[in-house]
Amino acid sequence: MFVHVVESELNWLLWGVFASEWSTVDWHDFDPEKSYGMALAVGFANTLKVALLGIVLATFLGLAIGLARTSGVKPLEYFGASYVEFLRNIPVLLQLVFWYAVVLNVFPLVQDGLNISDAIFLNNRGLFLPEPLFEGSVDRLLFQGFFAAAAWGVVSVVWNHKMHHRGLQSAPASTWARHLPWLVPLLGFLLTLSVCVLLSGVSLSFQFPEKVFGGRNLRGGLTLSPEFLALLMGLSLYTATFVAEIVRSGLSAVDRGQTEAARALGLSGFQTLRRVVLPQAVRVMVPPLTSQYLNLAKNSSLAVAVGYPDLVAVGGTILNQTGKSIEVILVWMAVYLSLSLVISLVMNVYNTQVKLVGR
Amino acid sequence: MNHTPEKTPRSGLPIGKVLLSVVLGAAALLGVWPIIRWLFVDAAFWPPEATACLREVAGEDELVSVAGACWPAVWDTLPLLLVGRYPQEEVWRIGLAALVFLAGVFVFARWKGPMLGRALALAGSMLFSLLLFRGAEFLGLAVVPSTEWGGLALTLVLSIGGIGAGFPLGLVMALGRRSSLPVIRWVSTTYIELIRGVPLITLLFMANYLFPLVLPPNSVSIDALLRAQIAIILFQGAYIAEVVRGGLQAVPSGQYEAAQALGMSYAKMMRLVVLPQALRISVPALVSTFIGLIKDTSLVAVIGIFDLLGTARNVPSIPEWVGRDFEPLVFSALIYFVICYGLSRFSRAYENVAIAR
Repeated sequence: MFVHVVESELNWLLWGVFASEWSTVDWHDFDPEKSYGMALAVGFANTLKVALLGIVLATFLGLAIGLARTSGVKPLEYFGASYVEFLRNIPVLLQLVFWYAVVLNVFPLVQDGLNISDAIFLNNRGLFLPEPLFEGSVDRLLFQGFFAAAAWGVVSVVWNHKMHHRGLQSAPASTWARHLPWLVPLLGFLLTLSVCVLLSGVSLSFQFPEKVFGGRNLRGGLTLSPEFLALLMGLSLYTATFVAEIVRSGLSAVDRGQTEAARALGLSGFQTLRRVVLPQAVRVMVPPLTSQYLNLAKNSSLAVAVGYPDLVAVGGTILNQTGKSIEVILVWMAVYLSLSLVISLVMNVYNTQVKLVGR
Repeated sequence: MNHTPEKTPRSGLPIGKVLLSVVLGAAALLGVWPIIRWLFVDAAFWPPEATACLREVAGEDELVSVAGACWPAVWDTLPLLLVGRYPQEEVWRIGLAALVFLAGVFVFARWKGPMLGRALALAGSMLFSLLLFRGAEFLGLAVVPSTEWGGLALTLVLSIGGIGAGFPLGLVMALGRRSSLPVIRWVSTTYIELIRGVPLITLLFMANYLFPLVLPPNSVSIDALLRAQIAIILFQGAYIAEVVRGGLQAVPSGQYEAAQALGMSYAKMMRLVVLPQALRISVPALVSTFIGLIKDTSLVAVIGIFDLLGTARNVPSIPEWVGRDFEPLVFSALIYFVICYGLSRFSRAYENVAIAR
């Protein structure tokens, strides 16, 4: 029986024979006819969207502010210091509510908003971008891509593990071979993905946002709602303050003699930073950064306060409609615990790469 | 052969940095000016009525709203923001409760008696101030139900209650995590990792919906505020447990070994040797956890409890002040900032004094 199920799943995965609600999922049109499970899946997808984008934005912004605080240019230092002190001491929920009020009230109307060649729009209805449309069975391709990523990810983790436990003599410390454990699996994954795309016959086209009601509203295209924008801005700016402090402490953990020696050798400020200081600073930064990323993923649950349908918001609605509180709460805990686990695992792989060998 | 390096180090004024500073300074002022203009220059301040925020503009028939902030929206709703719907004539009790609590803290900090006595005095003062807050017939005070509490007073009650009960819980869990008995260690570790892995808002939902399920049907329901307070206590307990665990690990193992060599029991070892050192080490991290707690209590606004942030979000719903979204938010942000920044400066000053000693 079990073998039969696995076989039919593999069949579906490879040839698309299986048919169910999940194989014909259209991620655009969630309607009230779909099941609660689909609603939770969409909520989880929304949470992932916000969490991953937020992590990327917060890292870059925090890096910029951390560098500004140690730059030696007084206005930059004051700006960095006041930014960090100000946003660190205000609750994140207050910041989210504030940014939501800003997006709704301060952003211009559609007619007066930003319009880049009729393809990109920014106004108080949100951010509108051209949307890539795929013709064909994309969900099967997504599953194939997921399995390929998991397989190549396992290869990467095992290779990484073997390299760091082989001992100092044979471990390539600073050569290009250091990058092989993540580079080769990444290229392998991209190759596998390209082969799958070519074999599946999926095609790509773009749908641009259209003006309706005489230019007073927009329809179509990839829409990032005002709630999403407010949540992303609030979370990124808040987490960036903590990332900036981590960056600052990481930079100060590097011996000042390193900077002096690099400058004495004739390296410019930027080269010193990039080649000498930052690689050593990253070692110190990775563990606290991991906990900040986990905090951002957990803070994304505040989306319910700005009306963005993330996992907690959708779960709360389901809880109210069905009264099945235990099931919904168990789903929340399972999802957030696994998300924390995955983020910690990924950061640990990176940490093993950069940490001091042989300590 | 004399080889002069191509790039000689400059002496004197760093021209590049000075120019960049001037340009950035000007840009910052340009960016900050509209905010200052909205906050102060174009704003309306007095009297605390809705009409103060309306201006006569030439060419318009009706009065137009002022271009800047409408601060009367904050002055008028100040009692709501500070104490919620607490009856005006009983507000003095909140002040008295605060004084009793501060007296308890002072006694804890200054009295040189046994630790247990000091902790009990602090706990007693907290409970008495809570009693003053709520009121009791036998004291001759009118009872104010917790549904009427709100604003800054409620934020402080939730925070202080959270750390007051969360600290013993966290301490026990931290000791349990380091225990040699597998069941205790497993229970403590599961509790800590579970609570730390989920957002506080899911814990608040859990407390709101699951607690009534464990009560027998048709019985009196648990106070909504108490449910939120329990969720906050559980949440803080897990984070404090990690902080205390760090402190316990920082105490040198020689201290543990020496105490055991002297024949001290586990309780004696912890009470007399390990915990005093561990807790002294963890004080800065504990204060920063407390600052985080004050900010995290604002999340109860999502489950319908009107603390400072909840009240501030609700002010635009008052018919007089429709559309005034920003002013109460800015004001409550200022209050949070003053409290949290003040606490962090105090903590830094305490660290410096402690290190100097």
